Amino acid sequence: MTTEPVLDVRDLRVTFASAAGPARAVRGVSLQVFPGEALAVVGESGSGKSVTMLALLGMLPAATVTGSARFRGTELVGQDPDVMRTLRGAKVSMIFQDPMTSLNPVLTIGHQLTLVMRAHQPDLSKRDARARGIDLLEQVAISQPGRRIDGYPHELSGGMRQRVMIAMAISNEPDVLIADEPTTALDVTVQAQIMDLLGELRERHGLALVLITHDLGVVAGSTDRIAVMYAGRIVEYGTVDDIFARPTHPYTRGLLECLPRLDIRQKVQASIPGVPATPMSLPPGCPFSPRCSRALPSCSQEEPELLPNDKSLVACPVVLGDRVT
Amino acid sequence: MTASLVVSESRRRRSRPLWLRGPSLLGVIVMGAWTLVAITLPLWTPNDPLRQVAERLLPPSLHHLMGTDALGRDVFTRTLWGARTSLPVALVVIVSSVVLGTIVGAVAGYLGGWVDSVLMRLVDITMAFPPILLAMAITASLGPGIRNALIAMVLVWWPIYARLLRSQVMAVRGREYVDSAEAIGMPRRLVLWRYILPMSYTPVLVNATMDFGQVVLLTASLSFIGLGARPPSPEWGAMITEGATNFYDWWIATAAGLAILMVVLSFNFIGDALRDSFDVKVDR
Repeated sequence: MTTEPVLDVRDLRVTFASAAGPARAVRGVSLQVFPGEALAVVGESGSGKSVTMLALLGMLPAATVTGSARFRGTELVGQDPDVMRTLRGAKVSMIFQDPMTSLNPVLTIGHQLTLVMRAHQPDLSKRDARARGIDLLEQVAISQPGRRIDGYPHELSGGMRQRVMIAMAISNEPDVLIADEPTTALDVTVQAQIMDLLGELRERHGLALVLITHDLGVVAGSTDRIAVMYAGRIVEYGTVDDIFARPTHPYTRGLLECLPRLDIRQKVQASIPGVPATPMSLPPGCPFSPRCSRALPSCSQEEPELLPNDKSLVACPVVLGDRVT
Repeated sequence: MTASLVVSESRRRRSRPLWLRGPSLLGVIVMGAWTLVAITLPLWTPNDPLRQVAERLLPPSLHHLMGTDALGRDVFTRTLWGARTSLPVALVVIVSSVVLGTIVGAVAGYLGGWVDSVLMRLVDITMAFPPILLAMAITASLGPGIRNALIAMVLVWWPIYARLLRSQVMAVRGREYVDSAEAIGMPRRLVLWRYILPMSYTPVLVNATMDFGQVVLLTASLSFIGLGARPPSPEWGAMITEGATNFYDWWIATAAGLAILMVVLSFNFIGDALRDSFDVKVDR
């Protein structure tokens, strides 16, 4: 891809102060998101995937954020909070995991949509905002949008609320939509519908999507590239096709093996032994080495760099040699 | 069949709000009557509250329901007229305090940081003094009179609401829908006003109702010690002072005292019921 990335993150680090010393939640993450592209950020709970995104939106006032995150050349790290507020929603928007608690319970859906649209487009009249609200609800496939717009969130199902959240998030036509586990709280059938919807919006509006998830099953059909995160760093970064066909990092392999399969009879669901490293208890060297089946003594000496391997990037010197075959 | 009966039964029971039942209903009726009296009194006042209408210090009779005072004025009439001072004063004090306390508490709770620290230290300083003493000191320095007493009471009263609302705002601020609104670019002003405040005002509303009686009491107290309403205006606290100088003519102080008792008790009942009806945990 020759175009400029909409989002260019370089060596982003996020540290929280805690009673037990600094918690380094994100330790040098670099990634790019190109216009209209979908990037999946995959990892276990606590791997720093959500924190990375919250940090670049300026939504972690208590944390120390260093490094660089540029939106179309505008630096976001250390940016004035008031400027960040004008960027959020209009340039980069984010939706969260649980649609049941993400909407204001005391305002109608139309009211919430109108508020957020008119906040960024002061010239928009109330009537036009309402018309656009109905149009947006129709775009996110809500039936009877003209009636639903006057409803309250409690009248909607979880899937419909997530659609409303998406409608609100794209109402000011942002270039990037960050979706933090948007389908985790939903039924499997609804999950597929929401992912289809996101894909459709991506095509129609040229919206770039950052999908934060721990579910590789969701990733496969709906994104272009994957960044696998572990303990605050990216351990493997490449296209979906490459990573699914030839996972290289032992952690990525482990994750893929953990996917339940329907085509073979499995007695025990595969899992990665041990517990995820936390920002408060990082093992020396490679943070994955204590759980890694292929760990060498040298793995606990030095933390590996993210190095090119075939078409992707991998942070594991042990497996780098493998790919030559 | 049984199930539908149960549903309609519980619906019927719920149709009347909690604050219109039991003691609270009594409070609502009493306060409704007092309000009506206060508004319409000039049209039908039994006697002139400021003029001598009979012999002085007459005991209660059919002609003068609560007797007459040391200047021969009708005590019952004066007690009714007292509502025209106490109720509007209390209303203004409560509304001003709630507005001021809401602004300070909401800003402090939402912004946090040094803004919060400065505002809350201000609240701490005010609340470090007993309210009656501070109100006395402020009124005395401004000069006695009902207007200055009113200003003093607002200055003493607002910190309660500021602190109450701040804690509520801080709790609601952490909810996911607030983060969610900020992530899609809702401005802070709207987040605070449309997203946080509607979910945090309940305790303030309940407290304000209960405090209404307290402010009536404080107004009377300030007048009692000569810092509020000045004679000859009919005010409950001032009437008790007058009654105290004629201690054995008990009806003078009793009439005003009963009026205060009715108002304070009514608002306590209403406030109690409001608190229960807003609390989802209370079994009704």
